[in-house]
Amino acid sequence: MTLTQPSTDAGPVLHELPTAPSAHRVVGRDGARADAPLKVTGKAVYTTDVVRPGMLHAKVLRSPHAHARIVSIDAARARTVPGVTAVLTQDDVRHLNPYGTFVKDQPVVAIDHVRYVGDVVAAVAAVDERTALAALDLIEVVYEVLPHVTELDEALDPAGVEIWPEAPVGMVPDYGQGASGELRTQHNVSYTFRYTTGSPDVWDQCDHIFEDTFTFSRMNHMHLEPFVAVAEATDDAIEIWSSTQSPFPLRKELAWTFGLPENRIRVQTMLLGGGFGAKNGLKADPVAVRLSQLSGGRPVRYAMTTEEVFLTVSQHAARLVYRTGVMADGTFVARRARVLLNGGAYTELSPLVCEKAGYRTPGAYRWQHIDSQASVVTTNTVPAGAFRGFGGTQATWASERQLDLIAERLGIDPFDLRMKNLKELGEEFVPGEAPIDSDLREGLRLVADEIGYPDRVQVPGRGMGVCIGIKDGGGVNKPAQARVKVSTKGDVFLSSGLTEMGQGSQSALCQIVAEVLGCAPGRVAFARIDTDNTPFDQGTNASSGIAVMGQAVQQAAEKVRREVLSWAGGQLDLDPGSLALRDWVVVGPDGAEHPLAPLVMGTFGGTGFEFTADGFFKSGNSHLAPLEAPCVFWEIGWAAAEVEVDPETGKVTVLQLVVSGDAGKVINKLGCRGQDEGAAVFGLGQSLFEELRYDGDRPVNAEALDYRVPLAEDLPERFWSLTQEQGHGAGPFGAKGMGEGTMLPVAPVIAQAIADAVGAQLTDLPMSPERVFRALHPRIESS
Amino acid sequence: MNETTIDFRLNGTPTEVTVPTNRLLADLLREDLRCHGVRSSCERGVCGACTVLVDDLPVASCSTFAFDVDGASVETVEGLAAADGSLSPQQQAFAECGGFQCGFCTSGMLMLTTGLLRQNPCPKRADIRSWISSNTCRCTGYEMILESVERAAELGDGGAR
Amino acid sequence: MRAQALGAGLVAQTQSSIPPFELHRPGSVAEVVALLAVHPEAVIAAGCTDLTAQLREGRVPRDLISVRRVPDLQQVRHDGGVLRIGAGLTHHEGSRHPLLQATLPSLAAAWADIATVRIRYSATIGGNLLARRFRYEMPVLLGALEADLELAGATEPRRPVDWLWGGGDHDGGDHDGSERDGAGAGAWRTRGLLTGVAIDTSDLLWFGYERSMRPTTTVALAIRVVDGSLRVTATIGSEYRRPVTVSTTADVAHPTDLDPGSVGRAVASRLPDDIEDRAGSAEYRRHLVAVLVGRLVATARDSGAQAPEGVTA
Repeated sequence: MTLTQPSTDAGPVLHELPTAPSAHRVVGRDGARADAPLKVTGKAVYTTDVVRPGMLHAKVLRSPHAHARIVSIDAARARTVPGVTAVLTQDDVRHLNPYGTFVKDQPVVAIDHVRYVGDVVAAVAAVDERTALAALDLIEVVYEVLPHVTELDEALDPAGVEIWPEAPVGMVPDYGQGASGELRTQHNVSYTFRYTTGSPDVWDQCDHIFEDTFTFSRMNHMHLEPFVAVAEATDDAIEIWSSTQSPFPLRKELAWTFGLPENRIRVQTMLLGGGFGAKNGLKADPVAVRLSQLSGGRPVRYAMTTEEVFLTVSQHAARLVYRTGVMADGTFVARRARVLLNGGAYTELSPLVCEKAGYRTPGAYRWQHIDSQASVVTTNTVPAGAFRGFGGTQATWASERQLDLIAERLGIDPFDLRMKNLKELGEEFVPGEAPIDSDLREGLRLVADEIGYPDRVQVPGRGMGVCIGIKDGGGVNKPAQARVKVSTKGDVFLSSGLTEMGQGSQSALCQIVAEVLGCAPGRVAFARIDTDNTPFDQGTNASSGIAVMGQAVQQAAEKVRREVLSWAGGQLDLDPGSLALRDWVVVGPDGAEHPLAPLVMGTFGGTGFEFTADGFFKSGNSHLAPLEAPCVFWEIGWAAAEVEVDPETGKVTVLQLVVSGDAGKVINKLGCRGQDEGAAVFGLGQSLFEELRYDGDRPVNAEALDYRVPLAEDLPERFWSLTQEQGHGAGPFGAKGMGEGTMLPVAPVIAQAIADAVGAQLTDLPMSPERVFRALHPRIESS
Repeated sequence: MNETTIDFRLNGTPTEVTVPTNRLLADLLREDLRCHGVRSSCERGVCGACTVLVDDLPVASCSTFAFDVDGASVETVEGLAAADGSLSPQQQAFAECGGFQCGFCTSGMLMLTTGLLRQNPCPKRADIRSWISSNTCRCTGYEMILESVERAAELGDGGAR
Repeated sequence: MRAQALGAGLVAQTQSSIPPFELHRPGSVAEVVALLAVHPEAVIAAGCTDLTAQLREGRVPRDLISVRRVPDLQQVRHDGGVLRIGAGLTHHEGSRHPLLQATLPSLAAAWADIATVRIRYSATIGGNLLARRFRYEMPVLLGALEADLELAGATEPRRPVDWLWGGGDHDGGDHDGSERDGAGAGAWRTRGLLTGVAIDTSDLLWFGYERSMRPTTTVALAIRVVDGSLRVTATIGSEYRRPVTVSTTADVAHPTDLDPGSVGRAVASRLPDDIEDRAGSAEYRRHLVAVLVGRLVATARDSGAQAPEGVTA
């Protein structure tokens, strides 16, 4: 049975899919998460709580200009302030390598140029933050202000300023069938991703071709725990406590930047106070490390304030131009996408976000031809990076919105148009890619029925919508490793690099181990993450925790179980295949119970022994897959909404919103529900009001009071989620990943409901009252 | 003298400290009195992660100077569980209903809940929504927090402790 | 964030990274005034909810006068048709004050709606006003009520609400007069102590507040009887721009005779041309004002308001 068989000339192949026994419930499924006691008592420890003996505190000076040449920096007076141990300016970092995931362009502090308001110019370590600030106040910087570009069109204009005249070090990942990537394709474009499949000849068969443009605003992640790192570093070694989603990639990037072997760098990660994508890559880390090096290896803590977090990374604003060819009956034929992402001043994770924004062009639908191109545009604004949804949110906004526009033009109900074109369960997403592992129509019907869409009665000013979003889940080509150990008395350790940032995956992985070892989940402890000892992992992202890491964890647990039973069989002179493991007791074929602890001590002595095994999982490589490996699962988000629109003001009130994800198999019910609802409310904020606003070259609401995030009062009167368990996931027991899917369809479903209510078709986010009003009244009557 | 001595009750225990005048209640609790459950996030009174009760009312400890709690009763998340470690109804409810994810807002949400239930042991959904709207949670989407508060009320005793 | 001392950029000052200040805790208005005479640059602190933000924006107090224990600032009084609300009342205490609820229940209701439950327990009316942040709502409510700010130990004992923004009759000495939000507008340069606000209720017929379109546009609206006609005063609030107050007179004697549409259009037409901000274009905001004023007037008309509130006819 294979999940990744490429299609044949005969068209898409239906694959046999794994189906978990629906009756079986994973142990701990309906219980509380393992981290509940720590978190409800306040005993949880985050990186912000880390205190080291003799710890120093860092503060930084940030650029007041969007673009300027640094003519000179004089930090001599700052260095004389009592209590200051180090002052960091461009001359202290020239020998270090700039960082970034594919394009290495971000220096530890600005060298020769500043490229956005908030760019780090200098940093100070001192005995306390007050002293550090006092020293920063003495640094003289002479800037030569340069022209800047903040918007896409300005940046692309060849006559305008070029932010990176010289090419930074950059690389392009390997791509398979139909996909390619290229650096520096245009003026101020750092990366372009292209994907094509099928013959462009089919355009000629289309009865209608529609082209529409959609814009997408940018949000801040607004994780409550700021970027924070405590570093103890010399020129030879780095030890760092960092609030990072990805400890091993952090180690690799620090090794690159500081020119050290990876075995001289140790990253420790505590619980994270939220991430949502932001905590991938270097954030507070390099400044803390360099200041520690310059302070004789003393520990340096750099905790950004929330205001600084806003100036560090954001989501990608985007403009998407979709051209779609359809038959008169609504059958989709061909789609061409041209996507521009505002990447900000440094390339950060933009190439990967760009890849996904382009690759996810087909949406949940069947096409004969796709021609997609996405580019990252460099501007003098806050760098954009990974953000929940990761390009998929942008793509879904355009794709679902255009579907509704087409439905209106063809006079077809948007629900029917979706049902007509949705892919089948088991159908490939694109040639060489993994088959769709959820019944898309079943989910769409489910949410539609929930809000009463099929029997809806038209009420003036009220409308409904039903949408779907889809993204490849589990990361690209991502390996995972895990280790399970069991002590003499049956206490279980799970060691994995999966960070806990709220999603509940550490707790769920412990349940998977408990399920395999036949013990209570409480017997399994998640070991602290430390790159010296924890098995390697590429980072906690792409909803990969359960579907990817879960497989490595399950395998490690199964190996331990086999090892224990095999060893016990030998001791007891029984066939291991006839034995069962339950609560650290071996149960023989006759039902006789053999407690393991005395058995282990009998052989290994009173101090005992640890059974240990490693697990490994990675989706198989394939050049037929556009991204070089088929994805592990498809993350689907379904949503249905009802809104009321006040035509006099344009105000939209969401009356009901239901979202649904397919967990495949639920490992933990609260965890699944929490991910779906949390993601949906991210989408809700983006739909109606949440955005990082720029006025010219400076952000104007980069601060907690002015930056509006959803509060409890913003919830629709009826808001709920439904976790499906369709059972086709590749993960443990048929599980799939969660956490991003239900963010995807929320903005489009609200837009569709607005159109249903008052006929206004919105194409820009957020759907502010003024935008809704203007869509209804293109010309405002003068009062 | 830019120092001040304050006398207050911290989770029921009489406490006297001398602090710099600009000492914030949040820093006093976290750094001097080992109440690490008080979380600092936006530090300008908006997000409420640092919410504690001062004389039964929820306040942002990041925006409260320590001198202002002289003579007051201050309660933090550390004071919720019983001496034997058993969880309070609010804590049980948040654990049971999944009213937390990353946990960074949880201490503040629990103290808001405690303040609400003390005033109103049987709050309506609208009251709960209004109170919980004081603080930011970026993870849960709030519904499970609202249900946690309802459950806490149901579990009895609520904020009455 | 604040500007670095030499203009080389931005630094993240926090309330815990400033030096300790001299703390003064007077018990009366007279003591505050005496302290201000000695420390004219002293910062006056009450609920501190906004002060914390100001410290992050660069304010560094050398002397801080905590007025939380000044009972005179906690009073509500109603004498001779003038309602006086102490500046030290929190939103919670003030909006629930029995005398306010009896005298001007519509203001009590509007006041009870602003901010959040948690903030309402700490933040004071005085702090809300003197923070001079465009998005704060007391200047909008009190602007429409044509309230006066009452100051002790100041050159002028009474100022209109608009004085906060450096407009109107401000003397230039207390302000840098710039059209900027928050602490940058010289928030801490108010000489004297704001003791409270005074609202003339003698001719006040009706008051209401519309915040459903917040933060794009809010409208507070008061209707007074002036020379036998009705004068409608509306203050328009927004997130990024100082509030604007406009009045229009309707030649009718009773609110039941008001035409909501024409009052709405009249108010909207009197708005300045530059009312656009980052949250809304000028023409959209003008339209919204017409709609929201119309709705408020319709409510007033339907409420059957006849006698001045709190005034026995």
